[in-house]
Amino acid sequence: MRVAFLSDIHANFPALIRALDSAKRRGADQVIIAGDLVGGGPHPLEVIRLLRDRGCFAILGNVERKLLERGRDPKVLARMARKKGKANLAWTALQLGAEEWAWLEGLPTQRTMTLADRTVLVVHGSPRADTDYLFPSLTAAALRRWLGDANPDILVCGHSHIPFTRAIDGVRVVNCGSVGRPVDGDPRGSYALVDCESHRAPTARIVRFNYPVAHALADLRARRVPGAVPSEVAAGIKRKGS
Amino acid sequence: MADARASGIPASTSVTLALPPRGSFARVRQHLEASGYSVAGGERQRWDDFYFDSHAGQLTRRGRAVRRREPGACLQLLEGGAVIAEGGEGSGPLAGQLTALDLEGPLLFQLRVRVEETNWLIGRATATAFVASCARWRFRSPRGGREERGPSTLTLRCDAAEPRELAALLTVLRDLGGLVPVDFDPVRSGLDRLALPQPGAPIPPRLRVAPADSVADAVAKILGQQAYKLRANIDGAAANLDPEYVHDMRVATRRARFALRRFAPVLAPEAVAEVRESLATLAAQLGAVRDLDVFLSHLPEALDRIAAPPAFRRWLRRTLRRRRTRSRDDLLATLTPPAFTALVSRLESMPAHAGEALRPAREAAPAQIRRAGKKVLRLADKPPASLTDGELHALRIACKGLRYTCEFFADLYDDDFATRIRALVAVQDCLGAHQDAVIASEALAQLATRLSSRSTWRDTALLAIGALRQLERERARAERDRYADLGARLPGVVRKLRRASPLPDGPPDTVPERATNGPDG
Repeated sequence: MRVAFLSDIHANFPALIRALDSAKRRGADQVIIAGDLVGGGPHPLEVIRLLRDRGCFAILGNVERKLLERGRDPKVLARMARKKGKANLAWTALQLGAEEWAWLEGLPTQRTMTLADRTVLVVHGSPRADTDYLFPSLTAAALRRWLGDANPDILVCGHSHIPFTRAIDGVRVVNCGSVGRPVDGDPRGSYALVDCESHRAPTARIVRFNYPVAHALADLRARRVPGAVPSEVAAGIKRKGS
Repeated sequence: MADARASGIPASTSVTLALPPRGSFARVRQHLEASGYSVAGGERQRWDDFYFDSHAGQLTRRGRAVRRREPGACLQLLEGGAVIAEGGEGSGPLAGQLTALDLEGPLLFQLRVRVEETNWLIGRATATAFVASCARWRFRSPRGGREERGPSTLTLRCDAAEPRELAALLTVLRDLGGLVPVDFDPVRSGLDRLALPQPGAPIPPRLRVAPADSVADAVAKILGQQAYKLRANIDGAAANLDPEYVHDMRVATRRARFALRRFAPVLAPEAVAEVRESLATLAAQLGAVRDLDVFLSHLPEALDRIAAPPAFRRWLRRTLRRRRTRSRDDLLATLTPPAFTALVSRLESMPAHAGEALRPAREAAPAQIRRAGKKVLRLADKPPASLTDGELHALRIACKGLRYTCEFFADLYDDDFATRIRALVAVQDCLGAHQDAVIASEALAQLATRLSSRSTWRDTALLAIGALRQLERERARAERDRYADLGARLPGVVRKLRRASPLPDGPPDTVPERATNGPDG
């Protein structure tokens, strides 16, 4: 069975379309989203609608969690809209309708599933928190601490926007990178393809795909998305403080 | 809910998208339905639009258009693509709006557009629906010819209160269906497809002189502009739609001849000689028709002023019209496709010499403007009252030379330069009106000599011609008086034009002196 794991779409609709097309072309049987569907990008409404209409399975990322915690109180939103670091979250909240909020509310924070007799744990940051970062330098000891009591064959995560796949202490760790907001200097989007078969060790690979960055940049500017830095999106980087 | 303006989402109520080449709405519909949209309807309709504008394209320049829609024979005035008035020609709101536009000349048929439209309703379960009109456009020239297929477009119309929904739909259509918003105008698109000029024949950007152009590039563009104007007006002149078509051709011919003289040192001499000869013939024929057009346009008022007898009126009108028909027949013989097309093509592909031709136009332009200005100042350096008719005409030609030189390079300078040119044009117009009166007076004198001595009403006619000549002399005197005032300002105008086109730093100007201002055609 082949599953495409996508993460950190960050409201980039053209990137999501290309990622789904790419996964379909590569024979993915299922698509699972590991959080941060929105936030930062210009298309929160379009991304949520598309994932919902196509029946994709998703979990919450730290952005969706914050949205659900604070995004529906007009007073809080008004305060957030005035703060530089939070204005984007307020803008994103204002784009969503009742249907989109209801769909977000129904999403879990993580999910454990079985693929061809293998246990797969899908989280956004780490099994402990959606704000933890798992980097390629992850050690076996650190992984055990993150996993705690959990004992999956495959751990799928995102959040750091740095894609990698490593076998550590018998666990296949897969970070999907970012579909809509890469930061590793490569402006192409990334996702992970995981193959699970009954009598073989699971394998995973990172797929990079091109998407029309110009569309995303044009909409960032046209919709005046607060906090967005189009030049960084175009370059696939993130500078400190931006 | 997000405020449309604050979110930057377009709040327009109508957006037109281009369907991809060979694309159909069926494919777009699949994408929409796979993205949670419902698509219903499919009502088809077909109609023809006949677009009109004045010769100078006054409606287009103001973002307006007049069209007649068939079936229904409904006349409509549009602004920015939206109908702002409709009705009959003679009265009602449309007639009022057209009168207010103060159009110069009649509205001429520009383009026929056939539209086949299918209307759909696109919506989501909980959101506002959009009316989507999928249109196929076909264009036909007013003078027949084959029909050209235009683009296929999808126009979305919605309630402006739901801009967020419109933006979401546009994103889906762009990223899933490959449909992008376009600034579609059926008249502009149709005329482009048919390779016909836009109303008023504005110079296209590719023919505008750019700061990086060499002299050779600039000269090619300047000659190309005149060729473009000749092509743009040939149909109207041949079909006798409006006297302004002949006038514009005459102006383009004059400018082309002037440019060939002015820039002769950078052009191949044998090619110049051949084209100049053909242009001289064309200029003479256009001039003959145009002079009579001007004379005929002033005639009714002049005849009223002298209370001319009806028999004389009829005779004079008939005589002048017969002459115009003869002149026009001569002109039409020159405008026949193979010869005329070859002339225009030669004008467009005039070979340039190396050397001076490679110099940047921006460096060469100031010297050209100064040389033309110097000639104006020399001829104007006399008290206006002491100038003879011939001297005023020579000054007019010199002013025209300066004006053309400035206009050739106007794209290299700022708006201030254009303002200065307008001041020069005012002087030139005054001198032109004076010359028209002189020519009309001479034409009347010739007419008197051809009157048959056996004519029973010869004396009456001679008296009337004498009175008309007197009117023309008065007109010439009035223009001469006006020039006394304008001429005093002429040196200032020339100085300001020089100042607005400063000489570049570096080596002294070395533009060859071979070109001279001769008499204008």
